[in-house]
Amino acid sequence: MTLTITKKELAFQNEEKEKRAAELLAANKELAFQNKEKEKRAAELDIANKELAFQNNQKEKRAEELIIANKELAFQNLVKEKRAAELVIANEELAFQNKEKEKRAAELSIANIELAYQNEEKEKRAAELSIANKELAYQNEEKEKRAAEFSIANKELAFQNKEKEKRAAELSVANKELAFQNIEKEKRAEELVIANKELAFQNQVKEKRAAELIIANEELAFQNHEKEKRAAELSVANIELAYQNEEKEHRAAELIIANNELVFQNEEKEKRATELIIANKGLEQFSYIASHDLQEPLRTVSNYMRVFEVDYKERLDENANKYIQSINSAITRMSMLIRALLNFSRLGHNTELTFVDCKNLIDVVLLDLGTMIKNSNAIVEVLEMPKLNIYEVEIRQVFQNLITNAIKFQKEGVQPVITIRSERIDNEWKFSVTDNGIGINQLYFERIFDIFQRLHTNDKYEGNGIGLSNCKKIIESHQGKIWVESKPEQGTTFYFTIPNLTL
Amino acid sequence: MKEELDCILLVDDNADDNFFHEWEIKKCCPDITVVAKQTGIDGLGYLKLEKDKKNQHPDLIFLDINMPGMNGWEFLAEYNKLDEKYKSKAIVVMLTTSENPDDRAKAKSLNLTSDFKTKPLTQAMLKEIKDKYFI
Repeated sequence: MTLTITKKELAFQNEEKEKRAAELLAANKELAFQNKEKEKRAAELDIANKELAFQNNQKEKRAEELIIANKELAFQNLVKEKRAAELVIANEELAFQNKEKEKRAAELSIANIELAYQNEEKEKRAAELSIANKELAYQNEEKEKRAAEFSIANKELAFQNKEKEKRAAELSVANKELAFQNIEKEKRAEELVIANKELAFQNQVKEKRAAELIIANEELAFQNHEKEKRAAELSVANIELAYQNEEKEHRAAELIIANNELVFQNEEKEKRATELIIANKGLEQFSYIASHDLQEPLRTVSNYMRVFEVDYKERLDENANKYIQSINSAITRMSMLIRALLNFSRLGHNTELTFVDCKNLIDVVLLDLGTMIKNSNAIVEVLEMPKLNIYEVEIRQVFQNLITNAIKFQKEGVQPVITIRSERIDNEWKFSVTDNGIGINQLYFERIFDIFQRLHTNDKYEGNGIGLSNCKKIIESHQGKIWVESKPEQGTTFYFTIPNLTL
Repeated sequence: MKEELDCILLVDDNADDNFFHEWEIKKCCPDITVVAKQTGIDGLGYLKLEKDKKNQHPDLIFLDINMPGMNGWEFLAEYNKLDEKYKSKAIVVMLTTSENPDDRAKAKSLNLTSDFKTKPLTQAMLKEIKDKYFI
């Protein structure tokens, strides 16, 4: 049994061995094929390596070229950066110049405002001068007395004109300065234009930056143009101002001439006024002294007439005594005239205004005239009276004269009725004294106020012809007016006004 | 207090006025002695004389203001310096015009004079003065 199994086993193992040998043979054949394949591959690799080496060589060459290209690029970048820096500086310069230009423009604007202000001042001054001149002219017509004040005012005006001239000269200098500044600006503007062109040229080199710069430059150019325009406008305005200044100088010069003329006229008037004052004082002095000195010999005549009359009366006949009476009455009348003249010359010496109740003042006058009123049986009615500033003694004399006249110039056998009224008209008081007397012919309405003018003989109505001229002088010294309204045989009203006078 | 009026001194440069004033005084009071002097100096000289029957001391002086040389005001200033025994009871200043306000104001301010009157001297005036200052 075991042998049979072993024999079978052996047979099987042989079979296996033969199989393996066949397999090995196949494997060898495969190996040989594989080797041949490997050799083929090696050759291919060699070729591929050679190709690679060539390619490497090419690559090295390319790398060198790239390095050079990179260096070139780096250099170009540097140049660009430089240019950029230069452009930045140029732009800064432009910006700075623009600021300078704006400053100048602002200064010009201020200078123009100053000029305009000065012109307004000048116009104001001119207007003030014109007003002052009118005032002067008006005042000249007003009062000779004020002439002195006018002279001072004119001198002040002349001084102001000189000031104006100075101002005008200063303005002229300022205008010249402005014109000079404008020229400078124009020069600058021209320089800027050139600089801008230069910049524009530089900008064309660089695309991106250039575009920006072009825009910026165009903006600047536009601004420059605007500024040039404004400069031109300012220049025109300056010329206009300069013209106006000249005109004003002309007017100032004309005003100076007019003022000089006024000053001259004032001086003349002052001279005249002074001469008049001196002449008036001289006249007053003369009439005072004359009438004063006339009194003395007249008194001596009168005295001796009395001695003659008393001591020699019995030795004279009737005719001689009649002559003595006539001489005496002539002496009395002459004495009265001299005294009236003396009073007239002294009128206006009172310079003290007093606040007076006219009612009281008239009452005092009526008291003084008591005898006359009683004898004539006159009725005197005093209506409402104001209180005002007057030369008291003088106004009392006015009322006394007017009331006396009203009683005196009466128709025979008629009871005198006198009414005294007052009335406020604007800034003055109008007084009136009305009577029912003989009246005055219209022909004599003016003449009665002249000194020593009389309408009646002394036999009929006593008087010295000085009462109404006194009244006129007194009322005029109060800056008032006196006049008369009357109808013969019906009565007379004397009117006078007294303005509000300040103490 | 009141004394009798025996002697009057006239100080006035105007001889006519002196004559007339003396004439008026004599018409009214013939017993009064009138001494007339034509300058202030003479007037002061008379006041300072030793007095006897011939040279009576004046009780009243009529003084003119407007005189050449020493005028009335200057006379009054000198008079005021005199010893009391040489002075008179009253002095009346005679103004040439009653209207002269300056003289009146001056006479008042001096306070030296008893009165002031306007020329000419009348008997009524004399009587008034006599009644005011004398028996």
